[in-house]
Amino acid sequence: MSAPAFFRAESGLYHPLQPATAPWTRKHQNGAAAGGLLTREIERAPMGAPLRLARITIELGRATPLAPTEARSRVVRDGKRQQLVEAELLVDGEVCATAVGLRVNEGEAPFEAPAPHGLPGPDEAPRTPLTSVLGEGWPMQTRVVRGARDEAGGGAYWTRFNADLVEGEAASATVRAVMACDPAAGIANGASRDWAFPNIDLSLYFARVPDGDWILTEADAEQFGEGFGLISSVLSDGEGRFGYAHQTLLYSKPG
Amino acid sequence: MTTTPAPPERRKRFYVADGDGFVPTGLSTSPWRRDAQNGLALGLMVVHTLEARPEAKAGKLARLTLDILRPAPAQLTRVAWRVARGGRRVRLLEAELTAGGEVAARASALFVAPTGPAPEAQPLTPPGALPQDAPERLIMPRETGLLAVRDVTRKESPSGRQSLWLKLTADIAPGAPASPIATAVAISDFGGSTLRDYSADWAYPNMDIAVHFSRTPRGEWVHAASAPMMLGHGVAVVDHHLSDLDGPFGRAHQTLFLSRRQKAARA
Repeated sequence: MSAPAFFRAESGLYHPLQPATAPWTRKHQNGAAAGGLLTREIERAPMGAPLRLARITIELGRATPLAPTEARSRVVRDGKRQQLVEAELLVDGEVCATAVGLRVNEGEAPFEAPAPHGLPGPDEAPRTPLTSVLGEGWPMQTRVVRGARDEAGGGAYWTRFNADLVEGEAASATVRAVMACDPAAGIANGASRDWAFPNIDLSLYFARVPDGDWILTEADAEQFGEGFGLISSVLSDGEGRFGYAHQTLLYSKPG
Repeated sequence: MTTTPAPPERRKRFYVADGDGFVPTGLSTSPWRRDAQNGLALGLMVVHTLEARPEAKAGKLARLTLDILRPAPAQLTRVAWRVARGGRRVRLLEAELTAGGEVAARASALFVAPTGPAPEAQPLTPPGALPQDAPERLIMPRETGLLAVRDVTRKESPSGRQSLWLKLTADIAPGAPASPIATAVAISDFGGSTLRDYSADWAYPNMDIAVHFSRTPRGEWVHAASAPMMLGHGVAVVDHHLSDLDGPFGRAHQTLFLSRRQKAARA
């Protein structure tokens, strides 16, 4: 019996499993699953020199059905110093979610110690679920260390996955960082919970490759009455801060 | 800081129209190569052509990304936008910018068209300092068409963020002053100024700009509170917090590529 997973790879397709279910509809894939699969596809694209992901922009505006999914990528611009890669997910031949990744080489640069996040570590906080699907314990463990799920204002949470993205394969820390910050609207959404606020995109910016199991997402939301909002997150691992994430929220009244 | 606007026919511009394209003027020249265009001008041209699209009038811009693929020659420039994904509430546009017939940059723009009621707005807090508070600290010559005023350097700031105000005094093209969104994209190209203390030993060009909006910006002045995240891995990721005179409206990032400057050999 292998570890639980978001997808099972079979005959060139990725079959979504229960952890991949969207919290809003249950007929679609959640952003962590689709975003993780797109990031993995970009990391698998061929490269002529060692490169690592510096930026990824994921479009989630159209929901990806909870059905066997094809993933493919294309190098748009190739170079030794940087590379631009597109990836897309298809269900029944139709493109559902897309991503663009910027990969860069590991050159030298000065080091400036990032400001410490000043928050408790994952072992010092209670276990708290963030969403109805990505609960506490399985397939991801969450520890809320600032704010709370039903409170206004922002918050921060640690995430560790105990399910594979693709069954039988360890996901990279970069893929897990993308998956970890997708549910940030669970704790920072700029509105009360009688609104629906799916995120229609997810963008990450990496100053280095993340490391270790746990990812900290410090999320804050801005919303100024125009019907959309912006989540801005600072991302850390056990060593400290390493990047940023943003999500566009589109608000509507359910029912 | 008070300037009397020049009459429209005498205002400087970054481009002049030529058929279905635009020819860059001296204001668009790259500081690194005289025969190429600078990234700020390319960003202005991308926004100028984007705002002429019907999608820009029907929706609100939530995100704009620009990737410069190679130096854009200072020649006839065109931006061809197409709808990559067109839904009722979310539209994604993509563009290729060609200069001298070669593709030099790519851009994408995410528009949203919310329907129905919106949640009650969070309160807006204006930035602490205003542009007129620091009239002496222009960081660009006035001839550049930019009023770029730095009121706080990173060293002076308790938050470690540089504080910069920007207003464009030149038009993008004849009769086309920079919109608030164009000014927002322009200030997001100033991340290199956060690394000025390294400028003797390092070069740090950027090849991308990404701007995320939480509302539509207003007015001529845009503010950025900016800091780099630089962890010794070849790049610095600049984090810009963007505001107008009313308060915050978004965030932006640039990836700066660090490389050691070649020391000039002594004769």
